[in-house]
Amino acid sequence: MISESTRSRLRVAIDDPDSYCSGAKRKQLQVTYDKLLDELSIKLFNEPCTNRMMFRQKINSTSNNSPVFISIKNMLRKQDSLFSKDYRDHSDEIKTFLTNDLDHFLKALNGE
Amino acid sequence: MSEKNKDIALKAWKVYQELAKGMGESAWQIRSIYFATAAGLIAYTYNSSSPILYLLVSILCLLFFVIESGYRRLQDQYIEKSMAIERTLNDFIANDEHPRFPQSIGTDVDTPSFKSLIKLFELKRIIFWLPYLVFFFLPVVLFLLDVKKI
Repeated sequence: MISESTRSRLRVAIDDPDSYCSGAKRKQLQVTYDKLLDELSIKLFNEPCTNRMMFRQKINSTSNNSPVFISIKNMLRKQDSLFSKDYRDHSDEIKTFLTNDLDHFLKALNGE
Repeated sequence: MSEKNKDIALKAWKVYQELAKGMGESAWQIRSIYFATAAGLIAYTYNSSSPILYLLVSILCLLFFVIESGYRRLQDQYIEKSMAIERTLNDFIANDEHPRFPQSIGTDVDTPSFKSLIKLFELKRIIFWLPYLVFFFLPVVLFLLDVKKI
């Protein structure tokens, strides 16, 4: 469903969440995440993902309740923390997103 | 039921936004009063040839900083509440089956804490603390250099 390069980049971030909470590495993670959504959108809906919210709407409107879809829905729910720009410190939220939601998605994808 | 929940979320979001805006405006008023007073006091001290008065500007700086930081910390809490509602609204827009709601909706906030005061000194908030820092040390330097009208 997703390319090996995307999977391995996300895996690196999940294994070292502290480094990916801020700065250039956070930006790298954002780009990789957008690439992940794009790949998922092409695979599931035959079109690129141009907007995260619209992709989420499409996913939520599907009736598929397989473990992979449930993990995608949960991941999309929490994705905002990765892109937040306000004054607050988002490190904890990003760490939770990586080690919980994104990790669960990759594991569900592997059928674990 | 869902429509009703959406209305409640929207109304709560508007209330939080208004409260956060009000706190922000009050904080800016406090700030402008201090800087006008400080500038006037520095000018008066320079003309009066009594450099000790420069230190009054630093003392006032501390007082006004404490007051403004209190408003900022209250504003931060309302912004947090507002963001929690934004998550709910985003869930509604995304057609989520079970939109997330905050534990409760209310305008009560915690008393500003020392920990939240420390957070105001983050680099991200330099616009908040840098002017106060300058206006705290500048009068001290002017006093030590004994700057006055000759």
